[in-house]
Amino acid sequence: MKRRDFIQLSAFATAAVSLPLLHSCSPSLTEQAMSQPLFLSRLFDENTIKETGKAYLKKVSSENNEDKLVQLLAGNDNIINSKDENAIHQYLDKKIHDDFETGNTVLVKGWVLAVTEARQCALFSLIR
Amino acid sequence: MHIDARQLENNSLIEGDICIIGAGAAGISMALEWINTPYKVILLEGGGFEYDERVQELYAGKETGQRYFPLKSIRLHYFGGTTGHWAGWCAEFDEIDFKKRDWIPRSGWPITLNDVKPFYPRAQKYVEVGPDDFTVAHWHQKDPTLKPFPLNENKVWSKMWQFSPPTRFGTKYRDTIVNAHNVHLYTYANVVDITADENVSHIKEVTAKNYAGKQHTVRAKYFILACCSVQNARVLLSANKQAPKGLGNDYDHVGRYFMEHLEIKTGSVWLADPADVKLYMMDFGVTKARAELAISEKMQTQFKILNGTSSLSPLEIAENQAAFIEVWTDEKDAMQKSMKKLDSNAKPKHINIPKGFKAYQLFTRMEQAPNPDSRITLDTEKDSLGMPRAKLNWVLTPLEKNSLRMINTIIGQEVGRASMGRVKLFDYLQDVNDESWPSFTGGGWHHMGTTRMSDDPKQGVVDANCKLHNISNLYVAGASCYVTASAVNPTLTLISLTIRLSDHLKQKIKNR
Repeated sequence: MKRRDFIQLSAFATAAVSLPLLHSCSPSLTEQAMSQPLFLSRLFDENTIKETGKAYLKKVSSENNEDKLVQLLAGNDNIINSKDENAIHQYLDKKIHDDFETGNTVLVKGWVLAVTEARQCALFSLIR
Repeated sequence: MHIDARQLENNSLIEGDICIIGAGAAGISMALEWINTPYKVILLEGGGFEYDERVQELYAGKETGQRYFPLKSIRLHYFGGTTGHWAGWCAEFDEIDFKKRDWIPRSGWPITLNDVKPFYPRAQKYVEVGPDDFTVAHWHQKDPTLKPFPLNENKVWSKMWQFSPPTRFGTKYRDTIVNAHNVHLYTYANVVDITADENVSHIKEVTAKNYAGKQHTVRAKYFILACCSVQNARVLLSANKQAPKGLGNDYDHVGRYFMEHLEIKTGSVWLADPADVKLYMMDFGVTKARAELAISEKMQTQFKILNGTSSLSPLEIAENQAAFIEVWTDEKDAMQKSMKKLDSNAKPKHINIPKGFKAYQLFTRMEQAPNPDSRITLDTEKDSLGMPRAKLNWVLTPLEKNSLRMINTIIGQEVGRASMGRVKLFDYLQDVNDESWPSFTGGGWHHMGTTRMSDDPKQGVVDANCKLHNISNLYVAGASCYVTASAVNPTLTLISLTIRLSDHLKQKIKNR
């Protein structure tokens, strides 16, 4: 794991700091929030999140699509249409917890990750 | 009483009530149990009181299969045996270790943990650990700063080890044995042959030799082979003048199912601060007890994996440490040398650890499945006493690799669920289709299984009381009787089994 700049993301209870984006079509607020794996962002730098996302998509090429990933992450329209970043983070945090609880994990570059957070990394790698 | 067999008149006849062959952890424990009984105990040790290269050389042999340590270096051939270089780690078997597990062929002991448990406290006294409480709750009560990780114990639990000083049996018990009036210790008495009656159902005598050219005969009512797993198999296989396949080997099990503990680095765990890890840390020679992360019986059953535990050590130090397979090549003062070598490499390696995290290497100790192809056989080459040398073919299977992967994945899932951190597996575990083993694969110098226990003579060498099937007075003491290896170091349990055997023999001899 290369360490350079850690992305400092706030806990879901406080205002999020957006990741710098170079994509010409700005992702929605929902996409932005969804592509920020909170815990992993404390451990991985931006580049590692992106590489992890790419590695996940190589494993699961059927999910190599922004809309698909958003659907998979959201699971319901309330979240997709939500403008509440904290609510989105809270929702995804619970999903990550449940993933680990149920063994819904994936090995990406050696890391034992919740499928949800791997998808978040994947979304980040696509919209970055 | 001590007699140097090199000084005895050649072809001496030695007689006693019981004859214990081998003065290591098992042999000395048994002898200690018989002190002040009305019986004459013969204790035969192939070496002397100190390391002797000429005697140690008798243990040399070839290895094939998976890379292994030199056979000469994995055991010590003098009074005290391999306790002369053991690290002192003590833990108890789990209930699952004795059970038949349908995903592990040839698993399932003819006894249960309840048959062994009563003997653990007595064994603990010999290795100077205690009290007989291996629960985290006990150690937390003694030191409230020792706290387990907040994990679901139905998946990952904290298993406790206690650390012996380590007790060097050769030093600790020498005077006790030598001064015991009913124990007759013969040093430089290597058993090279066993002679049975014409029906090969009862042992009449054993033959002992030494490099001074002396040969002696030992007779007893009961014989107990306690030379360690490699040598127990070697002695039985070599005793083939009346049983062509070797004693106790009618069904070709002697020497087979050689088991080690895989002891290997498997990954890293990155814990968010504050992570209370004191319970899992150790300072060699100082720490009295510590925990490792163990996988529950439920998860082992669900994922059909072997029993194993993972320990934690600071990643910056662990990354620089050479693997045991590279360091443990020399038997003399092995532990001290290896600790020095490990220490000399222990300059912290610079690792980028994010602020707010601590990183630890996961090092997994795990049983290997009993495998008939992993075995001790006899070489055509003979040692200086004319006995065929032992040869080891160590074999691992995909079940071991998959189990290592799953153990660390389960730990990763639990650590993630508890929001404690994340686990990363080493490269060699990442591809489920990769069955190869890395160069640093090695064991813990734990040798088990070569005279395995079974109720059925067609499935094992000894019965539930460690007696050779179909031979009325020959027993085996030690880890060679193990059916499966458990996740824990073998010494405490082999001593417990030995004490159990000792009690059984006392009853038998009393009833004669």
